[in-house]
Amino acid sequence: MKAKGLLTLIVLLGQFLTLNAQTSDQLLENIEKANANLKTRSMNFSELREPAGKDSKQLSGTITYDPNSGMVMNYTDPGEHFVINGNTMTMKREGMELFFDLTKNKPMRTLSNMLMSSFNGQLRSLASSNNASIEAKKAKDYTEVTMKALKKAVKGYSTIVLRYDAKSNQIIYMMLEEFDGTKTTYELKK
Amino acid sequence: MTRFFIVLYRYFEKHKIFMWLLIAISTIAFGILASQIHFEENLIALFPETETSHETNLAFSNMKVKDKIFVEFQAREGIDMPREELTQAVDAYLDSLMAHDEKGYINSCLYRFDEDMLMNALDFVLNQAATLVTPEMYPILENWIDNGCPEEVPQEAIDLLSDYVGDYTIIDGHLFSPDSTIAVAYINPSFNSMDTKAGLPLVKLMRKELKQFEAQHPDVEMLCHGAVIEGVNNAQTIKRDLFITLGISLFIICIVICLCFKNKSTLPLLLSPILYGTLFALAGVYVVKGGMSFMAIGMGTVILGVAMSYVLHVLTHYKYVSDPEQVLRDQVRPVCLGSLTTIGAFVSLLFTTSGLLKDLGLFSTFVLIGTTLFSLVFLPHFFNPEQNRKSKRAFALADQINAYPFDKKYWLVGILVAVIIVTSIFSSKVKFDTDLHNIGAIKPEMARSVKLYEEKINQNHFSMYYAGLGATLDEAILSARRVSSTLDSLQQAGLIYRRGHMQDLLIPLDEQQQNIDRWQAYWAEHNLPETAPSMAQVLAEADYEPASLPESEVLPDELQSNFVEQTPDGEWMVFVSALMDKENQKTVNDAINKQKGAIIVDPYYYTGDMMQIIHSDFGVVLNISSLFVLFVLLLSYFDILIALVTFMPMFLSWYVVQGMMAICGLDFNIMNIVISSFIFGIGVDYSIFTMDGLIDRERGGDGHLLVSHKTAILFSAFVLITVVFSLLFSKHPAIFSVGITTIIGMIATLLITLTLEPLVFRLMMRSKWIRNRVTKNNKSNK
Repeated sequence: MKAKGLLTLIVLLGQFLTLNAQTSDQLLENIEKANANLKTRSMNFSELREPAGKDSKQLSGTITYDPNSGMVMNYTDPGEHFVINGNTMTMKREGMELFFDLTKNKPMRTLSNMLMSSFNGQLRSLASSNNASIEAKKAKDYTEVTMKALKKAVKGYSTIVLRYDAKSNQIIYMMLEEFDGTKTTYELKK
Repeated sequence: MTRFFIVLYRYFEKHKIFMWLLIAISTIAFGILASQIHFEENLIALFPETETSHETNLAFSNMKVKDKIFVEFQAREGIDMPREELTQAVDAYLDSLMAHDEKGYINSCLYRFDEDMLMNALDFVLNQAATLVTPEMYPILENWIDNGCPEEVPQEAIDLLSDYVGDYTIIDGHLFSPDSTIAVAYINPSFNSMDTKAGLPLVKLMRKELKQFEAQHPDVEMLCHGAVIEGVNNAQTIKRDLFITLGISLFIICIVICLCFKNKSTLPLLLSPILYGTLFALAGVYVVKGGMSFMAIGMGTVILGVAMSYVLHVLTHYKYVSDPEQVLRDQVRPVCLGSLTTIGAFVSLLFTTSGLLKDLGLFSTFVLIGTTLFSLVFLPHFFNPEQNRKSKRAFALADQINAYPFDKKYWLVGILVAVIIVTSIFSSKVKFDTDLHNIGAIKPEMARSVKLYEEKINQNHFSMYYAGLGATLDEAILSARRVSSTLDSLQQAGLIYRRGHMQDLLIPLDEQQQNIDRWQAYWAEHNLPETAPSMAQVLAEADYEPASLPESEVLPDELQSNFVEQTPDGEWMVFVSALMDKENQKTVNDAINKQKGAIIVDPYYYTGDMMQIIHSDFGVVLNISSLFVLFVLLLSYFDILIALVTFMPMFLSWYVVQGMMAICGLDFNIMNIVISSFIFGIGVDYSIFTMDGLIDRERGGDGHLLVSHKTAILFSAFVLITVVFSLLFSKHPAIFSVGITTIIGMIATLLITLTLEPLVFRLMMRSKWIRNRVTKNNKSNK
């Protein structure tokens, strides 16, 4: 009797887990499909920077995403902007303007791929290329995708959490956590 | 032999159209073949084609570290320029140069560290941190922890890291000297620096860009040096020097010959056999080899002077006798004999191991054959006895000079004998300079560039690169470590100033794993205090794996090539640099050369041995050709005494040349020792013609043959001495050395021929027995 009950529990649990696993893949696929033909989007964003062991900083601005060329983040603080344009990246921060060639610069190329993939929904390939696990969960108003690095590194992201609007499957939230504990969180609104 | 040429002459006299057709067709055919020939400008052709070690071959191969061009920028004297302005000037020149390099002469160029490079390097170092921490660094780490993990980087760590950076300051992403006064850049060409032909377009492009740069940045001075530039400068200096010196000397010769020979047809008569012989030679070389060394052509132009002397003999004799057949009767034998012995001297070069000497031997042989045949077969047909004229004054002067009884001036004989004795004693002391650097021309601006770099970057020391070789990167790293270890010992012994440490960043994979294991074991037992930066915690806890820096493509090629390179065969070379005083270079190189898998990244180090091989080759070759000449003389004169007397000027002049060079502190080198074989040829010619004239007079001849021969010798000597004397005005050290040794040899040969040969002959003829033998033997030699 006890054994039967245990067996039933195991089968049910298995079905539940299988259902969830399928759901995670399905959720990811839904995100992929929804964003595959995404056209140019412009949104407002707020950003919370929390460097490890330092004071946090709140910023805001507008972000424009173009699937063909890249993205532009213009901060309300006039001293900053961030642009991905094809194979180049420009970053203006704290009065310094830096140019990067993404064909040569591996760390910036990783960042660029991460941001673009977050918008265009190519999350499974993003996780695979960065040696990370990926899991999607359904919440009430959004789908939450969590990627965790399989290996502890020094540079790069230990955890990335992305949220996609439940109806449109478009990105509304990004949390990027580095190995040293530095976190950057973006919330995007129309 | 004489009969053959006379028969041929008579045949062509009756079949002039056929003769002209033959000349025309052969000239056109030779011209077509000659136009196909390609000229090799690669200096590697200079060296013996011997079995060389694998390491030696790599030293000559296309290695970026040895082929690179050093470029320096500085504010002109008296101008105070901000560093940022200098960096902008660096970018202006090199950006423009790279943009205009459409043909891809430049492989890569290191002139600034951009953000991408720095970020990649930092990313790699942080992610591979545990693999790079060696046991010596743990005390520094412990000290830092004990001090509460301050934010400032420990001085010991900075000192350790500064070894890797080397003697540079980085300003605005650009490399500067430690005192920040000069900015430096390095250009890696896409070809081997020893290929001067490939280097010329790049050097021309750099010069063109420099002109525009100087117009836009008049306050900035740009200097450059490197093997590519040195090779191109060398080749250009040789070409220019030869063009100017030989051009002027030929002009003088033509004027003098025209004045002396007084016929409008003199110049065409003189030059047509030379031209024909040259075309014949180029065609012959093309058929045999397809191409030849450009340096051989340069040296071979002096041989044209030798060829001209045979033409002069025929022409001069014609001025005396005005009868083409008589010219042939009197000239065929000595011209053929002289030509044959001279050819013998040059054919012997074919038995050396150097490609250059073989080319020279082949070219010279064909020139002499072509010129001699033309002079004896076709040239007499161009004579017009009715219009034969000569400058009475010039020939009278020549006769006066020839009539001067050199052999009866015993004071002259005495001086000459004394010179021969003294120089013979010193002859063994003459040295052979195996250092090819000494026969290269260095322009003043390049010398300044070298000096500036040595002063500002190398702290007034001489820089050398060594390589550790391996089938895999790890093997090459271990080979380089053995080289580094030897250099460290030499540093302790005071033989080197310092060695580079960039290659220490390369760690074999198994050693990296040991470092990782050590790191993880350390942090399993130690903790960081709470005050430690968060990055420190991350570094302590991260998962690490061994990784190869070169194979990770972290560093751009222009930077990486300074300490590691992979050959086309897949072997790896890891480079170690060292600073030393120039006088210790050979000692240090010899010490490193003993290491297994070590390469001296300086092809000229290996050429020293090769030059010795050539020198030894040449000694053997000279002996063989001397015996050949003696044998031919013996066959010709059928008399050992006459053959020896004829051989005497050549034999003695060689000792005179060696002795004079030893006394004057001049060394032989690969260039001028070759030309010494030409001195041999001339020496034999002069003595053959003189001996012919002496025997003819002894046989009852009216002495005109001797007069004619002596006049021709005088003109020939004038031509050759003018050509060779002009080389003394050359700026190129190798060409100058050819001029000086040849002048000494020529004068010695001439004096001995005019003085000692007739004297010894005259003394021999006092013996009735010898006289009868000589006159009887030589009656049947025609």
